[in-house]
Amino acid sequence: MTAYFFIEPGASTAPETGAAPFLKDTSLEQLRQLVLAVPGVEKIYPRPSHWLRAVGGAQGASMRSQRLATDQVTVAVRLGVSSQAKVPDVARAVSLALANALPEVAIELEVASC
Amino acid sequence: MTECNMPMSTLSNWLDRDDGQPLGRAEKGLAQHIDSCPECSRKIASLTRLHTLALTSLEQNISEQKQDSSWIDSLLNNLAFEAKAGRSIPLASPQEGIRLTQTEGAVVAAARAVADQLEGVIIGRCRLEGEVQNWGAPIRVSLTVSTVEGLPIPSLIHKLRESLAKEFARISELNITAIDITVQDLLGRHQEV
Repeated sequence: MTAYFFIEPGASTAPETGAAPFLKDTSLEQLRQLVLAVPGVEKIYPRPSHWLRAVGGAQGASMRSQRLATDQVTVAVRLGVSSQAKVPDVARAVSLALANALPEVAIELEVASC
Repeated sequence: MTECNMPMSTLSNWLDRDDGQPLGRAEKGLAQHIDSCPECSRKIASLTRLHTLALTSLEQNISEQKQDSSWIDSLLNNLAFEAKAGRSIPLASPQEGIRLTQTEGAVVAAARAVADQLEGVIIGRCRLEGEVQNWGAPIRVSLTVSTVEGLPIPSLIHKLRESLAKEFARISELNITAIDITVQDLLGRHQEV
C-alpha cells in the first residue's frame, strides 16, 4: 500500500515536521517554499477531489501509524507553470528539488496549468 | 479523472458581478475555489473571451444576431469541454522514482491562448487527436477557426500554425505530427474582435 502526501497551497504557521516520519527535519511548509522557489512555478494547486476519494482511506491509516515504510511513500504536487517558462524543464527541476530533499520517497508531479 | 463540476452559469454570473461591491461570503468562497482550481481558471479565461465576442455581436442588427448566436453557442460548448483536465500526458522523468505528467486541458488551454492572440482569427475547436497518454505516440492537433473577411487566409493560417508549433514546443513533449486547421466561417468586419 502506498501512502500519498500532497504538498498543498497555503502557508503553514507552524512547522509540520511531526506530520510524517519520512519528512525527518523538513517541514511541509519548507517543501512548499522549495517548490515555489523553482523559476517558472506560478502556483501550487490543491489535491484534486478524486485523489481524496481514492487514497483518503489509505492515507488516513498511514498517518495514524508512525511506523511508515518509506518505500511506500509518494509525495505529490500539482503545479501551475508560468506562460513564459519551458514547462517540461520546470517540472523536472521541481521534481529533482523534491527528490534531493526527500531521497527516500517517490515523487509525482502534475502540471495543471501553463 | 474526475473533473470539477462547477457550472458554467455560476462562473458566468461571477464574471458579471459588480466589481465595485464587496464580496459576500459565498463569493469569497467561489473566488478561492476559482484561484485553486485550474479547470475553473480556464473556464473563466474562456468565458471572458466569449463575453467579449458576445458583446461585439450585440452591436449587429437583430437578424444578424439570430444568425450568429449558433457560432457563439458552439464556442461555448467547445470551451466548456476544453476547460476540463482531460487525459494525463506523460513528461520525461529525470530519474527513477519520479513521475511527471501534465493535463490535456492545460496543454489545450495554452495553445488556445496563443492562437487567440492572433488578430483576425477566432478559434472554435482545439483537440489533440491520438494516444496522448502514451509517450511518443503520434499526435495531430485539430483546430477549427473563423477568420475575418478581407484578410489573407493562407498567411493567417501560416502564422497560426507557426505560433502553435512554437507554443507546443514550449509546453509539452508531445510528438506533434500535424497541425490541421479548418477555416469554418468567414466573419464580417463588424464581428471582428
